[in-house]
Amino acid sequence: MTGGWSLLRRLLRNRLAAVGLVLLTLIVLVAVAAPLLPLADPDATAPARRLLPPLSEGAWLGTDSLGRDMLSRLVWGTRLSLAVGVSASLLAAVTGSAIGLVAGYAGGRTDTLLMRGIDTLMAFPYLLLALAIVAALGPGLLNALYAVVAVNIPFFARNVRGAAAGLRHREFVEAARLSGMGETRILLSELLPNVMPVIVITASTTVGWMILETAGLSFLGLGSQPPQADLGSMLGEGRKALINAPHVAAVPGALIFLIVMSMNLVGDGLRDAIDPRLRTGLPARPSAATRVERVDGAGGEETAPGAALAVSGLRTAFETGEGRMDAVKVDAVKGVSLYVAPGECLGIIGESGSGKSVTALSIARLVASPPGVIRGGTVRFGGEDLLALPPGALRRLRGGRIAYVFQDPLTTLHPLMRIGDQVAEAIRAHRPVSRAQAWREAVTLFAAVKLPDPETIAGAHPHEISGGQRQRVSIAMALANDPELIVADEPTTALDVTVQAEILDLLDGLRRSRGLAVLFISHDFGVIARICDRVAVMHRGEIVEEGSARDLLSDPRHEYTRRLIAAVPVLGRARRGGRNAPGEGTRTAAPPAVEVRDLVKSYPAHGSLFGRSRPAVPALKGASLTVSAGETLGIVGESGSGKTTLARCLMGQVRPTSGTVRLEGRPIAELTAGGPRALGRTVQYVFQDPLSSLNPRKTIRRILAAPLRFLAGLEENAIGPRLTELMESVGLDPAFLDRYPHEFSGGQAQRIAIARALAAGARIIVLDEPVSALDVSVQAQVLRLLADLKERHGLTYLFISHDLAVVEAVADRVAVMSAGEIVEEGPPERLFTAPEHAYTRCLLASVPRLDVGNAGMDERARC
Amino acid sequence: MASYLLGRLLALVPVLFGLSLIVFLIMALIPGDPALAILGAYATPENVARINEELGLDRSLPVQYATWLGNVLTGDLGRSHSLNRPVLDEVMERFSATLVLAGAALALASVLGLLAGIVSAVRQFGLADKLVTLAVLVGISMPSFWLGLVLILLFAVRWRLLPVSGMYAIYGGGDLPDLLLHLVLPATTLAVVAAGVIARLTRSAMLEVLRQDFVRTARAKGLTERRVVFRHALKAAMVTVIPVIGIQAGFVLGGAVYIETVFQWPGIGRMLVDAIAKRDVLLVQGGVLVVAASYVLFNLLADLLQRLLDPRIAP
Repeated sequence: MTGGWSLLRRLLRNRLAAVGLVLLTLIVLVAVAAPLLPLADPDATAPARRLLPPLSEGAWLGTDSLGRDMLSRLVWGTRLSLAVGVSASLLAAVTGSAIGLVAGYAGGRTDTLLMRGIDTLMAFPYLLLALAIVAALGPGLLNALYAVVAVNIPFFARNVRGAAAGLRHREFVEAARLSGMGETRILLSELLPNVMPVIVITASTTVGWMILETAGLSFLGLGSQPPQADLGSMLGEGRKALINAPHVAAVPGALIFLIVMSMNLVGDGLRDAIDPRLRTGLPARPSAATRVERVDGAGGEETAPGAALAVSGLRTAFETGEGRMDAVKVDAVKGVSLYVAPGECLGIIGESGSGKSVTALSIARLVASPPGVIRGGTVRFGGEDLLALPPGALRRLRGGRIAYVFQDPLTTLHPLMRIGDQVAEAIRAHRPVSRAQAWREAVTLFAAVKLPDPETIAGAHPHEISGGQRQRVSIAMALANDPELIVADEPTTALDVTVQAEILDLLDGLRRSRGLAVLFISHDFGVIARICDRVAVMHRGEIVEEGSARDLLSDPRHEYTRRLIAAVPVLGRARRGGRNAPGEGTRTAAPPAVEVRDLVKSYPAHGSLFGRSRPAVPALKGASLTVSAGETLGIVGESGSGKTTLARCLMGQVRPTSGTVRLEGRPIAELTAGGPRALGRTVQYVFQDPLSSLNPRKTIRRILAAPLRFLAGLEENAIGPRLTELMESVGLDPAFLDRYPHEFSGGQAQRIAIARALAAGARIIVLDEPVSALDVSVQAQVLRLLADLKERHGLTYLFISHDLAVVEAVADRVAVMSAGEIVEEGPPERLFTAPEHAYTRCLLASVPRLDVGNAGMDERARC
Repeated sequence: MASYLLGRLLALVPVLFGLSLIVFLIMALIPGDPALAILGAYATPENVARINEELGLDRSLPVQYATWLGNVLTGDLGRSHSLNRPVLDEVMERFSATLVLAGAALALASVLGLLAGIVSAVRQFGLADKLVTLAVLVGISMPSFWLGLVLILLFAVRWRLLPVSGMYAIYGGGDLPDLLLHLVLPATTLAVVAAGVIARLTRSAMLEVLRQDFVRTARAKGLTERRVVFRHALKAAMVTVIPVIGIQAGFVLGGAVYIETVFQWPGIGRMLVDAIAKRDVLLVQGGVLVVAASYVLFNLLADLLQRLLDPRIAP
């Protein structure tokens, strides 16, 4: 297996692990070869030769208190200790992993029961339980082994259970179930390979302990019984002659230490090699400021006099590869120049990987370093080159005259500090004011960013307020010291569209009232159009086009910009005439493909016996809808609207509290009753994140073959040709079949997920935000593919999205969901031009448009 | 907080119940006849029957358990036949000695481990980091029962700096300085492994936290590096470190068994080893139960501490 070799190679590249491996191999070889070696009988006593010191004639390591040869006893003792330790490790690994796997995958009551048992075992101090077990079974090596196994089972059970429970709800496991795979098969072929690293890591960390613990029990006289001796009992015997002949105790002890240490070295190395995220050495911690190594020397003259910020020729690279020696520098930003005038808002737009965020972070040298390094250019701000600034001066500038607002306000605020403290701290970092005064100023700032009840918010922790409120806090923090420039890096990307509109309004208002210069990074043309005066388009680390927002959007010059703008789904653009309307004739003849009646799903009240119990939250409050065969129903709504719960009810993954779901005329209960297969042949699902819906440890061939085998019921020899067909039908080269998911881009991976949905032969496909994780240009291609497939195979789509423009482009009919209800339904032509429900109107007004500049805000004022 | 505490205390009930069940079952399933062990040479059939009746061994297991549990709840752990005194008295006396040793070791391990871990993370790849990494490797691979012997040989036998064993000097001891002097070697030995584990975990938790978004925010605010590391990063890292200290408490309590044997410390670990050798079932049962129950309470304390630090943990 190539995986094994590459693992070994990675292991040996780690010098310490290599030393450990060599040492361990040597010890094991000697122990295994013990019967072949010219050693004295380890149990032959010679009272005349007691306690000889090491290097004596005929006894290299001396003799013990009965005159037995130490070297021979040591080799045989090592053999015994290793055998016991390794068997204990294997037994504990198998038993514990099995318990953990079942508990984690089954969940519910099985999980609770198994893990309570494990918790009770863990409630004993480690060695104490082993002692109790030995006390019960009686002293003896085998009993000591059982005791050590018993106390180590919980480590495997807990770790494996954690990993399995994390995987249980992963999309690729649900996808496997929808491919018609049975529970045992899923457990063994989807879960086990993915938890294997956890098992190996746990085994490698515990095997050392197990050897130590069995030796310890023997040392106490509870393990191996004379004349049989492992290293522990040798040490225990040696202790009696400690003062006269220290070597009798010292040598076996040192050997135990060597064995355990070499095992720990190999274990650590193995863990690093298997899971790079757990590496003990790399990655290095980011330093306070990005390293600057300008090849072209310190930058030249002022390029844009009068600008608040002028960047010229900025080059930022990332060092990849292990260690400094063979580091490869990959440029993420390749000579970017831009300026922002006082009071102006410059937008930088680009797709993922274009270098826009790196550019923004380079300004105050906030790119994580290592691996980031600024290799050239200048960043001029207030007449100074920020890249040449000493650390103290740079620090005073950060949060003082230049402030940042980052993307995800949940991860960017400190989770354990009160919000008021975090803002007060920003104030006190720059101005000598009292704690109380800073707190008062923070509260005033919260009022300025229109947070409700600023006093309460100040005392709250970030997880206690909503996403939109958190982003207001970030903005308040940015304003704390009256900056001249705000760098906003995708500040609204993590937010719902109505909240996004509010935050954009806020930022725009503040900019105008305070005369702030803003550098605004986004991937969304609509957002940029709404807030920016000028726009720079970035592609592969370079600015390809720059101009006023109005000109650039209406008349893009560069080929890339043109393509990008053309790919953006725009509300209103898609109202084409030739939409294949659902056949009037079929609607009456055949039952509807999907029929949902009064669906209610409420999650039970959550709360402990004494804690405040939260009331039952209904996720769906009586939703009804019908989709005819061959129709595409778009479902739009914001987070928490219940659209995903609805989709999961259709897949039988969520059992509704009341109401009915019928697919092709059959109630869903009837379909699910026959196991996963009947359902999988009727309806399939495409998940939002294509990569997490594909098992990382299976090839595409195996992923796609599952539904063909279990649902389509193909013979083995028919599967191959069908796989080729499937790949071609989603526009992928069949030669890719033997690759693993991580080798594909997001768009390609989504094509594979679509192919899997097709393979089952189901005619209803639920698409849950299928293009939301993709860049716009890829988005357009996948949407085209979906339209194409629908036409060719006569599919019925339920297309769920938060993006109104995408839905408008693909849907025959649209349903708007809010707070668990369908508030409005109709053809997109009507719904998007003459919305009836207030929520739909508000939603529509919130969507940033390409062409309106700031006009959207007036409409929004009404919602 | 009060309701959380009450809830947590209630949640302890099933754990303690399970604990008592395991302790009872292990002892009940002991092969061989306890009566024979107690009577030794006097084991006439009448005597065996009398002892069995006295100990309630002639009744069914559930009845035995119920009786035993009832006695435990009223503080009656039975009478040790090898020592001929109430188990509870002996256990409490020995356990307090163990608490002194384990408490000192855990405190030492936490302080050393945290300091070493922080220094190691802040000076990543520096000399201090390399030294700490090496020390951690040696520490966690060290058989503590062997380290104890080596330390005795060096500090007590060769250099005569510290007492060889025991808790107090036999003549003229008994005061605090005497106790501390006797504590140095065993507490250090016991702390070594735990310190290594805590240091290693603190280091990786700090390095992990230092790469998170909120640390970037702290830097973007213009905070000093010292504040970023010691206030923002350390605070978040402690959330992962505190439970590990709780777990290490269990390892230290268990490891005390070796150390007490090596240093002749009159603690509960040595008592258990002796009791096992003498097949004194009630003494083993009582000792294990008391230590495990107090460990459970200690873990509750660690949880409470963590909750004070991390408001995200829901009640």
